[in-house]
Order: sequence, then C-alpha cells, then structure tokens
Amino acid sequence: MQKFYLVPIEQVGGARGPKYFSWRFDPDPPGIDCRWSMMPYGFFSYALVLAHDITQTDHVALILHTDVYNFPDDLDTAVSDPNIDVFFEGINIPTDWLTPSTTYRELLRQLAGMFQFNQRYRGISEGHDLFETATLDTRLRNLSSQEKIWFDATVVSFGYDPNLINDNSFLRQLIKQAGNFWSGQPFTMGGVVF
Amino acid sequence: MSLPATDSFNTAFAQQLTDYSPNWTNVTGSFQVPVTDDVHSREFNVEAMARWNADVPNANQYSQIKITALGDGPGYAIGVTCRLSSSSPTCYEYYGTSTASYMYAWVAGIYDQLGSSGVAYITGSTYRLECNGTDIKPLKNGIMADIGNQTDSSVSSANYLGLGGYSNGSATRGDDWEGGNLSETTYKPQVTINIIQSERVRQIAYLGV
Repeated sequence: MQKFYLVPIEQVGGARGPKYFSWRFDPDPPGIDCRWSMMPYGFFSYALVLAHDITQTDHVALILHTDVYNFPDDLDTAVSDPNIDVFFEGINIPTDWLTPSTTYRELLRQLAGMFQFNQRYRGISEGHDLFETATLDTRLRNLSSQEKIWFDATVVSFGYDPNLINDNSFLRQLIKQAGNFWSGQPFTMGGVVF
Repeated sequence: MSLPATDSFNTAFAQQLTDYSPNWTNVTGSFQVPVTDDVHSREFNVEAMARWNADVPNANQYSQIKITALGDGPGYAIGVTCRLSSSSPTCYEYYGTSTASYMYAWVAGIYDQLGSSGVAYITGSTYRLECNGTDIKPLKNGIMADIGNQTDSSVSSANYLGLGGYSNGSATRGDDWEGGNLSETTYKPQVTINIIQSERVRQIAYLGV
C-alpha cells in the first residue's frame, strides 16, 4: 500500500536517508525494505516520505515510533488529529493556519511547498537550515544579516520581491506563504503526483 | 563550444580525465580515462564529480552516459551529474553499480538519497538525469527509471553538466557522455504516473512531460 509519513532523517557521514527505512548507508539495518521517496525539509532533519509499497506489518511497526507521523489513507478527509499541533510545530511546521475544513491533502501539499522553500534556502545558503537559529516565532527582522540575505535570495529565486515582505512577519507566516506558492502546481515523489 | 556536448574518451594511453581533456574540471575526487576509451572514478571510497567546463548550460538540462563495464561489485559507481557547482559538491546525481542505482541531491558535500535504491545498472544501457525546473528525473534508455522522478528545489542554478562516480572501480566504466539543454525537441519518454486520489490509486498513461 502507498502511505505518506513524516520521518526523521538520519545522517551517516555526508549521506542522509530516512530513519527506519532501508537506504544505502542505513546505519541500523534492516530498515523497512520497500520502495520509498523522500522530500527533505531542507537541511532540517525531517522529511516527507512516500512509501510506495509498504506492507501492513511494516506500517504498523513504523507508526509505533513516536517520531513518525502517519497520514491517513484517505487524504480528502478533514484534519482531525488532536496531536497534530504538538507534532508539527515541534518540527517547525506551522499549523495555526489549519481550519476545521482543511483536508489532509491540502495539509500535505502545503507541507511539500514549505519543504521546497527550505530546500532552496539550503541550496542558496550552501547547507544551512532556515531554523538553525530561528524558530517559527522568530520575526524576519530578527534573523542575522547573513540569514536575511539567504532568505531574500530564496524569495527572489521563486520569483518574488523580498522588499514586499513585512520585516515584522513571523517565520511561521512566511513559510506558510511559501507553501501557497505551489497552489495548483503538482508535486512528484517517485513518479507519484499529488 | 556548443551544446549538446559529447565525449567518447578516446585516448592512446591511460591518464586522468583532466589531463586527457582541458574541458573537464574535478569538483571532488577524480576520474581516469583508461585505454579502453571510456571513463571511471579513480580514488578508493571517494565520491567523484567532474564538470564539463567548456559550456554553460541552461538550468533545464540533462547529462547521460552509456555503461561499458560493471565488474567491480556494489561499492563502485559511475554515472552523471546535473547543475554541478564549480565550488563544491552541489548538484543532482544519478549513478549506479552492478547491484543498485541511486539518485541524490547534493548541497555543499551533504547528500540526500531522494528515493530507495533502484535496480542495478546494466552494461550497454544509457542512463540519463534530467533537471527541468524542480522536476528531477532519472532515465534508463529514455524510459523513466524505477526510482522515479522527484520534486526537489535544493539546486536551482544552472551550474555545469558533469560526471559522477564512487571509488576506484577500474571495471565500472561509462562512455559516450553527453550533456545539454532540455528543449521542446528533447525526446519525451512515455512514463506511468500514479496519482493518489482519496484512498484509491489511479494509474494513467501519460505521454510526455
């Protein structure tokens, strides 16, 4: 079965892969041996993972881990998980924008968009994480001058003018807006479009 | 020079890639051009990347290589890179061994495995990596490889086309490297895309990307 998860990233030397899954430099094999795709949250150590053909047995074992978030099979139901705020905000994913009618599919796509922004920030900064020193409740003007340069360059790389961004904005607002950028555009993980 | 660029690594004697041709610059590790007229990485347990310095491609680009030998076992890889930085191991990479294949996003020497390990490379096959915006696509003989394409935004600059490899596998080699810009005339492979919709998985045939 196909399942989406949020999974910690583990690093071995310079290589990073999804914890609990089998990958090239898996430090604690055997990981879950299935076909998977990973969309990292930039250089932050979490990723969206799509397990393309995970078994029910492996799935049940995986979600016993408290650092794994399991998306429901039916992505078109409204988000109803009472623990979602604690889990997501704990890994720098804002949830204060969720409404009672937001579906898991909408959440998943917003997440993917946020992840793309932090990926680009990582690339432009040559290996830094947007949340290296900041939190979701850090205001843009409180980033270091170097971090602000990287942030602005990331914004520019997506075709926007950073001068239009209010410096008093919180990162939680800005990363959410970054997710909005992808509205109507597909994401692909291992050939699966969502 | 002009794109697409090609190199068939013809040499009268074994030498390092950068001695063989000034069009190549090592970014990390190094490569060897043996008398078999192909190319392999040349340093034990070292990731190797070299960029084609003679042309500056567009950001939407491809790099491909034909595999000529896979005799070294699982610890030796050969393949290609796209958007390879001149200053650090920053790029997308698709390479393979006699037992598996891998697609990575590299940023400043740290690399993320974007999908589970793919099937082994096969001698005689051509492996290609395409970067089209945020769509990162591995291909085998023009068909989507089993790893599948991936949305990734880490490396957006065009940088350079290049080679990728791992360790000193003199029997893990590639030939007929080619790199260039993607365009409307670029070959569009037929792929199958699974679209997750509700709890169902709907499969559609999709021609062109």
